Amino acid sequence: MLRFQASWLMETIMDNITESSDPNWHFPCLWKFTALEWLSHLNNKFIINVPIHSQAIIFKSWFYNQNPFPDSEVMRAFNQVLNTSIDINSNPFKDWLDIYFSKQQLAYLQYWREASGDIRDIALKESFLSIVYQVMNYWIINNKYGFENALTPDQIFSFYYKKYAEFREHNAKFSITEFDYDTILPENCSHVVFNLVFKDEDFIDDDSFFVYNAWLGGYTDLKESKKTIIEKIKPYYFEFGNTKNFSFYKRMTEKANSASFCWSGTGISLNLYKRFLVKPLQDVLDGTYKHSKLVYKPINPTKKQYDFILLFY
Amino acid sequence: MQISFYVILVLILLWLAFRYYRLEKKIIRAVKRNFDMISAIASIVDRVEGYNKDHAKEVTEIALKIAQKTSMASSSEQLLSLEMASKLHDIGMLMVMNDLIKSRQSLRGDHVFLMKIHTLLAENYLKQELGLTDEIPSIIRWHHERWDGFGYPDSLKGIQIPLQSRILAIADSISAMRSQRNYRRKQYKTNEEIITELKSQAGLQFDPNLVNITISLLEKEE
Repeated sequence: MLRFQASWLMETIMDNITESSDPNWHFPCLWKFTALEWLSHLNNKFIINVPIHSQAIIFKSWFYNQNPFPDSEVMRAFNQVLNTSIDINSNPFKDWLDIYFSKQQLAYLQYWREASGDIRDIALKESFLSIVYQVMNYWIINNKYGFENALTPDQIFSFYYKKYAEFREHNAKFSITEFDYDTILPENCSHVVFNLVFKDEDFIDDDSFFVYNAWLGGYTDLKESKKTIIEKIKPYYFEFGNTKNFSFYKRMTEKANSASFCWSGTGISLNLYKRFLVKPLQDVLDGTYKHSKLVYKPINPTKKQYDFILLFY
Repeated sequence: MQISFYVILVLILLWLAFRYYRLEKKIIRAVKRNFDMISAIASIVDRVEGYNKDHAKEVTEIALKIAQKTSMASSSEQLLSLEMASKLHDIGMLMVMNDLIKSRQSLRGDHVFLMKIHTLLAENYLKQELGLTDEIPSIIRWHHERWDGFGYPDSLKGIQIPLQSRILAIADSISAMRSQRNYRRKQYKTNEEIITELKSQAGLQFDPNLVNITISLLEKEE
């Protein structure tokens, strides 16, 4: 699990580096769009690579500046109240009944998926789909904890539509790419940021990620959905004692003035991180950067939970 | 010879016990003094924020009650951190413009952004004083995060938000609901109204598990 803290990263960079007047950032692998909220208020440029397609849609709809914002008329047209009951047997997502969703919720998911097919403009369609993701997330959690949903499906859809509008009030310029690990290229940038994912780590902590991925693909097999997602992220795994990614780091930092590695540690002592993560990275980037600095903050010291940033400049 | 040895040993032990007792009393007095001082500072923050009551004290009481029903209950260290963080959770407000805090209207645009940095200001200043090993600044940093990932400053989602911050978020909201606030039209007068609001925000603003715990505590109060 990674707890990415954009403002802390900014502070760390500003404490150590004289910032250029027009900073630009490169994130070679990111999969949670909310991580960018803070940075989106800065007058900076961002190149974000999102290898998971279902999440890239969300990134694009929330951050990509060229994307039009769906007006309320579009929303009304595609977010109607379902009055007639729909036969659950004809619902392609019926396997999720009473596991993740109620009958009514599944009817809406089927309707929204079909409705999205009628939206011609791809950008508008992506926006529509990303709001459905939020609604699914809300339903999955409430059903898990046995809460009655206080809002009707169309109301919760409208609620997230408004949230979406708030989120889009940003100053930054984003460009979103969907390169795989092997095809991604280094960028001329002020900062390159690596969010470290560890092997065997539960890097995605909620089911909505997999359910949404499957829903988008039109199937219900979550094992398959997980497999597709993990295949995309697996090459980025950091393994202690394994240097397989080091050439990737070296390549990605070629054109970057500084590099940051961010990770959330659990149960491993600071000294072990220093020995098996910090030192090897310092060795490999020794020729690229003159300085490095490790900063950390305690989250729950009794359980050895710390967040880290390793900055090279 | 042997008897006098034991007598001396007993005397030494008695003297050490006495010294320990006096030292412990001194420490307890010093700790209490520090606690009182922190409560006094928290009370000043409450007034700056425009609360007509001891908001921080109420938040602390609610937070500790919730925490006692979670996995944190057995860790006195974590409970102490939560207590301190609850008392000082809004200390960053002292560094935010007064006009923003006392605004009678909903804030928009840059004003919202400026308001949001109060958690970061608090974290930064406390971090400098408390050192790198203390978790209290982090707890404060995330007390405005939301379970659905639309909070601030880091838009963390679900269990990415540390448990103490999730508890503090609920406690802070309950205390705020019970207060007269300039920017809010609706006032929550009864526990029943608060429970309805908590249920509606489960999975959105708050951790659903903690909402269940809080509801059972509020129902017992009635």
